[in-house]
Amino acid sequence: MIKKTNILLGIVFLSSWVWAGWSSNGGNNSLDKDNIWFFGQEPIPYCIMTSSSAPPKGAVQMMIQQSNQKWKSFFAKYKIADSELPTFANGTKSKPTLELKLESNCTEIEVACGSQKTDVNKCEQLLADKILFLIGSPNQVVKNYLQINGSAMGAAIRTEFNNKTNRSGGIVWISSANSSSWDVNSHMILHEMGHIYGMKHDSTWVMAENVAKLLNQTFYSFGGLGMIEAPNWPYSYSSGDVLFFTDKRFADVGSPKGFYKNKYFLDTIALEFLEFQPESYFQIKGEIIYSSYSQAHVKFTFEESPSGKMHSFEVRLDNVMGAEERNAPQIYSKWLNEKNDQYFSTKKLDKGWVSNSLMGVADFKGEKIAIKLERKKGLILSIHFPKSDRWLHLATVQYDWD
Amino acid sequence: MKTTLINKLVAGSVLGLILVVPQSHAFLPTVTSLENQAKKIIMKERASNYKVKTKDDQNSCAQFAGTWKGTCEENGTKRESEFKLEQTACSSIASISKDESGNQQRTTIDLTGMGIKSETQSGVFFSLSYALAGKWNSDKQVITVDGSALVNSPFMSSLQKMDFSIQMMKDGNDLVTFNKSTGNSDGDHDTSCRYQLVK
Repeated sequence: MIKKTNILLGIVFLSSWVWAGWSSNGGNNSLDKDNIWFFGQEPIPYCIMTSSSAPPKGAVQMMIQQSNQKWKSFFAKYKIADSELPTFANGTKSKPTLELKLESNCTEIEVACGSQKTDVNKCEQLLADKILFLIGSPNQVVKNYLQINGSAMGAAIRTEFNNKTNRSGGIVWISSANSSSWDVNSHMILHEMGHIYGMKHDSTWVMAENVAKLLNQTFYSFGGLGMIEAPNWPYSYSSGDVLFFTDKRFADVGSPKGFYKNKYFLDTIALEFLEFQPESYFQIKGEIIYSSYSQAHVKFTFEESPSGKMHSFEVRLDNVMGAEERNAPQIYSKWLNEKNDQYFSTKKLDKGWVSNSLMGVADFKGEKIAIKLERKKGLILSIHFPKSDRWLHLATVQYDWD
Repeated sequence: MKTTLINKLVAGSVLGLILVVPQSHAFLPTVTSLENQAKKIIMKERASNYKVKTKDDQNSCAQFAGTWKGTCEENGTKRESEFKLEQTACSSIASISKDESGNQQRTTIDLTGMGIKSETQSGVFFSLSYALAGKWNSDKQVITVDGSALVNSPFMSSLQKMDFSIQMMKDGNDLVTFNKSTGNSDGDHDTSCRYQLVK
């Protein structure tokens, strides 16, 4: 959900006839709240409703199709859907559903789930295995949700998870506050669709919980709207990816795009070691050579502008912190073990996921350089140069805003 | 009359504006203020979330120039449509279409984010002002045109306003457009069109 205020976590009950059966990503502490919504080969059926203030319906459909294509490519990149899962209690083994199909007749859903007079219970029944993209004025289901969680620019509100079919629909609502901006609307739809596919807040760029702050696209040189990952906020590490650690624009008027002023970040020892000038600018990139669950081989490149001077070195980074929270898509449901006993459990689809915190020591110019690479609301790179009395610490996205 | 005038603004071709050419009588007051009002409505809609790049990548944008022919659909009703687009690099686009009388209408829209096109037509019985503003999205693949039209007449109890938004992009080799207008006397209009290049 895109939020202007922080979500209040915890169990929240309204009178049962209003709220019964609805749950929401991030809105309560049910074990299935972060579930991927749909499993199986059958495409996800969906309808679109737009209010007067919303973009044209055809435009919304185009945004949904484009967003879905991006999510499919993302899942394919990390092979997320190939994650090993046991057999469901219904005897099936199935993967997340990544195909959508526009319903030919949405009249009944439009009547029950409309903004004018919502029949909450009927709407829930109709959306048990379908999705309604509601763009513009919120209906009563959305209003109830906003009343609990505070104002927002969008929300993905799922019906109660069906652990018999493992297919559960709901409402994806986008406020039409920015109806004239194709990029903003596309980004918001991309974010909310991420919840359908089990993506958690802050797991990658588009899923930033405070994305409302990030909608000013001039703040970052790479643009960012309409992208699932960003060079400074990937979901994980994949061979060939290039990470970008100096992308936040600072107020220094003369900074080239993607470069930081040397003297503001590099102490005298670092400047001497790198042979950089205080009044020039530097950029750091990291190319992923190889990655696995708890390791990444990275080639770091330091570049100075305007001199063009460059230094590169490779380093192996390992997870030395041990067990950690994996923010991969997941499903809490009922499964069958080898003895055909049924049991409830959360399974993570974490294929392609690499540890959030990696450390290593690089050999460069005959010296040892300590490096720590983290993913926490964006990339955080920490480097200790030899003989320096402090670390170079670069937090790329939201870290400074917490 | 109001319905006919306002609906003509979004009928027919995507960007072609069909205006009734009036007699030049200065019967109605505040022609200039109507135009300014329309401009203000546009600026309020488009002021945020768009930054202009006037120097780099000006030639890196979707190309829409050509004569396009296709079908528009609204609520299951289809109609044929044809119009011509001329494009000047990434800075402006012009729509050329024929009105109901067969006269050619040309509308040029600035896409640099710096210009709002506005015009007022006034006559004995009415005054019509419209304002248009166009912009690219961030990767210059989608054009959005926001418009506002105001009609004033001594025969109407209040100023009538209509807003419309047009989005245009390529889908493969096809040109697709999405048009929405609100404030019409006969309700909102939401139209999707798909065109193929004729020449």
